[in-house]
Amino acid sequence: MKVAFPYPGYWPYVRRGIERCTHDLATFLAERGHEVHVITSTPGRPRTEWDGKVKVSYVRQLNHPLLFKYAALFRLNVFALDACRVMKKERPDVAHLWAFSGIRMAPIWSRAFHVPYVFQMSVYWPRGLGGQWFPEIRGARQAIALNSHMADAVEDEFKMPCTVMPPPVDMRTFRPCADRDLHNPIVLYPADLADPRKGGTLLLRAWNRVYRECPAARLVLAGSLGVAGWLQDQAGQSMLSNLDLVTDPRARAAIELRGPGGANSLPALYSKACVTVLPSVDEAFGMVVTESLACGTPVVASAYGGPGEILTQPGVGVTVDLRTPSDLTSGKRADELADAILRAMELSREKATAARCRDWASQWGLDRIGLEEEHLLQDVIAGGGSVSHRRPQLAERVLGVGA
Amino acid sequence: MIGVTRVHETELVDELLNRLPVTDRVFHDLKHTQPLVETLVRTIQGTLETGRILIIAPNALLPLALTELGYSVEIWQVPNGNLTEEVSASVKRAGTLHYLLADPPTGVRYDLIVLPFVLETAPDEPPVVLERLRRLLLPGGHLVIAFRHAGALEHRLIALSGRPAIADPAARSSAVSYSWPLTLPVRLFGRDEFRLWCQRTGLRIIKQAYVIDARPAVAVHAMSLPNWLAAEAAYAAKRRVAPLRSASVAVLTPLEVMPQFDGDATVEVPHVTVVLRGREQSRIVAALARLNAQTYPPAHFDVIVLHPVGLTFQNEPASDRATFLPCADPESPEATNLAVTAAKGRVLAFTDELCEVSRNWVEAGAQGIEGATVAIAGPVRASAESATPFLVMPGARQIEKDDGWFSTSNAFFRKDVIVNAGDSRRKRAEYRGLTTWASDLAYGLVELGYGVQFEPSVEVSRVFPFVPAAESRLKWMIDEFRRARELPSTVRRWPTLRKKLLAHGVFASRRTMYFDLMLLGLALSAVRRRPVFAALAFPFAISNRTYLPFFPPRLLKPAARNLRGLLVRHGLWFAGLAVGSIKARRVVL
Repeated sequence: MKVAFPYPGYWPYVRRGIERCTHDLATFLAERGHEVHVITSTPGRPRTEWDGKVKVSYVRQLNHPLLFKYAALFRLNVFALDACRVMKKERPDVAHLWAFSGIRMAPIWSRAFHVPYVFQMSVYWPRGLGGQWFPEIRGARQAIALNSHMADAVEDEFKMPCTVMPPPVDMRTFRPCADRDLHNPIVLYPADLADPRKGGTLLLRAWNRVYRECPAARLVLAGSLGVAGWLQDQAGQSMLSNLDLVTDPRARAAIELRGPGGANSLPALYSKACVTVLPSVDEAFGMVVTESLACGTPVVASAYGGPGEILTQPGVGVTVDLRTPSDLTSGKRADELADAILRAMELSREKATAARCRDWASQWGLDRIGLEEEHLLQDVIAGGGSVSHRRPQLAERVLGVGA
Repeated sequence: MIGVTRVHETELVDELLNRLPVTDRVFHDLKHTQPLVETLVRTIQGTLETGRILIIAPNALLPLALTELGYSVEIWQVPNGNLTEEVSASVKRAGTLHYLLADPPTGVRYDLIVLPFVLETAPDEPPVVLERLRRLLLPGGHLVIAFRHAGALEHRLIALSGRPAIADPAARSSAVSYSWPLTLPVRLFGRDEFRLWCQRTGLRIIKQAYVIDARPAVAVHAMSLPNWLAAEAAYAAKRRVAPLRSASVAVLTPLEVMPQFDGDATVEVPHVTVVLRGREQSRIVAALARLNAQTYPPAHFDVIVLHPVGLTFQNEPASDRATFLPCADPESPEATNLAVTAAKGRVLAFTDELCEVSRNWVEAGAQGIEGATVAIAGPVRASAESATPFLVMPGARQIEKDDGWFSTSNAFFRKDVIVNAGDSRRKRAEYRGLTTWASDLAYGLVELGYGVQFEPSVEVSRVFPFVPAAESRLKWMIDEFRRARELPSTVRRWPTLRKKLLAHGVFASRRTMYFDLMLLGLALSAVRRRPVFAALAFPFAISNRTYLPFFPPRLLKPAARNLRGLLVRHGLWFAGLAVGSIKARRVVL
């Protein structure tokens, strides 16, 4: 089959979130013999390249400081027009759209050119505004969500069946590949530094206590600052603008800014870390959670949303009660987060933890999720779809026992 | 192939940027700062064909571009610097600037070292940093330095607003840069200070230019319309007016002879050889007697006398420490070269028989030659026996304004430096001025990166005779004409001298300007038949009123004689300057 993945950002320029997910799924499907075409954009010269067996078309981006100030979505609309133009020429059998693929005219386009598509919801949206934010979901042959809570919300608001398909983790790439430093334990924060929703400022508050109780520890910030130029440090909201939340100068000196790093450096970062922290709210999945687990590193994250559905096994991480944005400014939650980090650091010292984490992550392995994606797309091409298909809970699927 | 087929830096950097696997934000930060990378690549391509390059605190693009061009690149990385995986392998040392620059390893040497925005950030003083990095260079190596200079538009605007140009570290924002590491400046300096630091550390500035270091705005940074317009306007101003640009890029190379005296730590004072030129035996003997009375330790100085063939000094009591070199013309550069070759001293002092030097003249001159200073000159005052000053060619001696002029009658040079400079200068045929060679030499040394100085305390008093007794009138006239003719070519060669010496950028002195004005007035009144133009002669008459006392009548005769003298000399100078201006293609009148 011919599959198109239109999305404005792509690997290797962006190596987190939807971009990594698209890359992994596209590569998997191409390896399975399908013709896969990723349509994305570049701030540089438009071109078409091959990423292994995946064809990648980079269309031009429209960037200008005034556009970002006065018409931030204009860039996305321009991408949507370009992507439709490329798909019209390529005529894929099916297209996989994500929330923020930006192709709002997809229902009309799909009918005009007879190309069915699936729509994967990857973010939470203000309830009641879903139709306005994502009008293309109504023309989708199949709606998909990243977690069951989000699938319920889609079914509730859009009155259409929605299945759950989490992002895969490539267990061959993400594996323990470096020794863990237990003398100077690394607390790794791999999320976007500019996105306040990721809870970076809460982590800075918690770091005061973590450092006090474990002065040898280092906090490594390995996220980008605004994934693709969309999230900027406006009004000083980024984690970097709030470093003064760490009151102890020595604790501040123990914070390292690594930047997003190279394409292959992330597994080593996870492997060296004692604990990966993602104290986010409204997190649809949290790919860094499964990536870290695949590298054998326990995780501290919210007990809700995507991370909450992953961290249901106590031996692979610790959860914190983070539900709303107000939790990210709470002193009590900062204390709880510090506790959780210190507990997870203890957990990482246990010999069995690494293997347990990796084993737990394997249920989101690319080999499994990729096959699900393949079957789903084939169903859609065959005229199927529009089913509400919930994934079985972990115990049923992997361990074969009741939850 | 570098040097054979020069790669166009804009295409190269564009291509690399398109290929670079980085996020949009990193892409746009690099794109924003691309102009400086292009400038550095172009500068390095023009400086080094192939070799080993060290970059301290780079962004991702510069080492990639240089690697692509075939250079062997090593990096010293600082915290918060972002590199791609491709160049991460080139990182040989990592740490804070203080750590990197405090004690550089001595085992490895480089053909070229690049410092982008490091000097203004380094905790150590820039001369210290430059000195340490100079030691890391291979012979013939280069330093390429980019720094934010004090005269940039943003600094001028900050100064106007009354805010400090360098922010308090506590008030600094935690902005992030994915291009050049965000190394915040701790000092602000201009190109003059930079030049002095280079002189002090034995580095010669081969070239230096104001450059645009960044585009007006980062494409993904939201800006309001007024802010964007202001950024574009500032960018346009920088493009049009070079000194307003934010950065300055300089290429440096170590001097062949270090400014400091090396290996001479046990010697308290350097040995000085005084080169004394003279034509009359009695004057030479008197000058030697004055030199014998110098306060400088006698064991540390000697005298070389350049005199015409035929004079003998064997029985003169003052000739003990003197070496006599007979030559056809003691004033000629050939004779001076002969003396330089024969001199034993590490410092050479030049004077002539008409000068009356003070007792501490040698001592003051020798003390002035230290550190980065390899040449000094001092004032040459007209003694009471002199003819009136208007009779002396401007430029042949210091007048009050001429602190840039190196007189052949009062100048000190380090011998090793001028011998070394002479090797590269020997090819210059025009470098043969009778009275301008000292200035030529001094400004040539400045061009090579050495420091020269005008020292008011190194003073001599000189007799400026009306017409030297030993010369015929014709010879004197020829000499005056030749001196005037030499001046335009010297001025053309040394722009710094032009600024210091010329009146209004064109006239050799105010006196010659008034004379030229008078000529113009008289010519216009004759051609246009309007006597009113003759009024242009008033400035000349007023400026020389002391020498032209037409009242009372008994003074008419001497006044007329003076007027004749003035007109003859000014006429000679005018002719000499006019011929020299045509030859040098630089108007000096």
